[in-house]
Amino acid sequence: MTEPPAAKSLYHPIILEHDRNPRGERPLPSATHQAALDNPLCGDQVTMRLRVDGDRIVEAAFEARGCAVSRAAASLWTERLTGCSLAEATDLLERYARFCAEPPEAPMDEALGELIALAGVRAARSRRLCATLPSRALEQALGKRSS
Amino acid sequence: MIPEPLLAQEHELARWRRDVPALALRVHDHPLTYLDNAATTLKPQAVIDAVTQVALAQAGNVHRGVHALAEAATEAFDAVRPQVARFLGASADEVIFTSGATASINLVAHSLGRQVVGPGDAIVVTELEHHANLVPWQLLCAERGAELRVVAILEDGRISLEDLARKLDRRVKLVALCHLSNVLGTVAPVAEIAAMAHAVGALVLVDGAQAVAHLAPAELAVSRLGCDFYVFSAHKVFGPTGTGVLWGRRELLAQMPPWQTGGEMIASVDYQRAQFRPPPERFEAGTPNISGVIGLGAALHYLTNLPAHRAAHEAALHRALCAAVAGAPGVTILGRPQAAVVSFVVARAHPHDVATLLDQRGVAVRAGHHCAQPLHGRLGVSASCRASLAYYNSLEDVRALAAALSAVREVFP
Ligand SMILES: Cc1ncc(COP(=O)(O)O)c(C=O)c1O
Repeated sequence: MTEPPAAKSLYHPIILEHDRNPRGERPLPSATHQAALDNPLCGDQVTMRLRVDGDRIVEAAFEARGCAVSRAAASLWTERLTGCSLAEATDLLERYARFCAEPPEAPMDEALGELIALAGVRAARSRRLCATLPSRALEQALGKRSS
Repeated sequence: MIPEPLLAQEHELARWRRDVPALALRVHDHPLTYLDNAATTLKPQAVIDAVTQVALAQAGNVHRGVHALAEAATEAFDAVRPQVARFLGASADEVIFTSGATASINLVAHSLGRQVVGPGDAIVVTELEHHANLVPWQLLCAERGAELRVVAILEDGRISLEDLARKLDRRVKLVALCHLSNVLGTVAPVAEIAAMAHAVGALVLVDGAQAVAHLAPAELAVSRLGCDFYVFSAHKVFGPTGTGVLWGRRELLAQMPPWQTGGEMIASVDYQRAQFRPPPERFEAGTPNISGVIGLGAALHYLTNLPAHRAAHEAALHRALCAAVAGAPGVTILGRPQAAVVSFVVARAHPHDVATLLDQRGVAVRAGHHCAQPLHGRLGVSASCRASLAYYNSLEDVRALAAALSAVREVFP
């Protein structure tokens, strides 16, 4: 059976691959920043953790109970943020929030790297909360240092 | 597998379906397979026409004007109250219009609840309840220093009457339960539960939000149910959103204070105080949802004029639906559904992903916790998918769901 186009784009091979083999899905006891967020629609939860040294994110990890879209987003973010400066991370999170809110035909922001595999949510409004759960948790985490 | 003779004849079902224009929609290049009736039902043309007619020719406010438009609106609006009363086997002065089942429950919690529940008292709910029939009681108990007791369900999703018996005593002032579970599709033995509650002096509120579109008229008669309050929403019984009903026993309503206040519900007002009208007007402050109520009237008229075997058709379809879902690869059904809905989880695929993949094939189901988060926790899952029927669904719909569920396996093997 051939895949309908929209479903194909929401479940891009990169998403399915990260869902199956997530990067950075582990606790991070040495985290300096962390935040947990719920998706009130389905009770899913994601916790994003960062270890920041000086101005740089040296380690990123997540723990999640959720759908393929939110888990893949969390996994992609841990990869994307590792090695970034805090300013770069803030910029990327802003770009991503804009990217997800744009209409499906809007141009891709190449700075986001593999995160643009999540472009399918731009045509699936109801799934934007899933795709942005990890990034919203990261915004919170960066806004406050964990004690 | 399917008791075919019980299903409606093809030409008859085709007529029912033609009457509901949304069923002809195409979604992502597929014919719509609408299996989210527990979230909201689709509207027959007669309901759409009635609502349009209000905007066109009955555009006045109700119970206020002496001009023609106001009189037309008032006449159409007032005709619905006795109609709802007949639907529930009750009297018109016991029928209160609200904005929905949620508002109806909140009205009882704020009005009667504050009156009869005091420190040390208790309210009983069940593990099945929708947030709408749980959170208002949580707040009331917190405010009044009362205890909220939650009756357990059995493995198959039915309410444990043994546990209910254990939780009932003289301190219990109210038992609130759903007639038909929006997640597990189990039907509560309301009459039996009401008798048990009344034996300890507790009142009984039944959340009929899911029941009204599915159960036969005799099963909805409040006198046979023996409950004290019955609530439902128009949009789950083929009517418009933003409109609902609270039925309450006359003696109780007569003693209850108003909750919201304002125009329409007063007998006389001076600057210092007001006198309230008797029920039902006492509980209907402000301009009501006029087109919603008139649309509800059209919906009940349409529904009650369908042949009685629509219920048998739906029951047969429900058995076929449960069998098809149970037979899909990797699927586990939650509980043992008795009517209208079936909730399930798919191994290795999150409910949201399943619902998105089904939607891509035009199949509409619900994914999430269906406003019953504690119940999902109790069942050991964070979310589920739910397919839910109406009389206008067909065997074709069941087959489309089964085919789409098989295709989920291709993405999440
Ligand atoms: C069992 C049950 N109770 C209450 C409600 C609340 O209905 P409404 O949102 O129309 O007020 C629903 C709707 O989902 C329901 O399924």
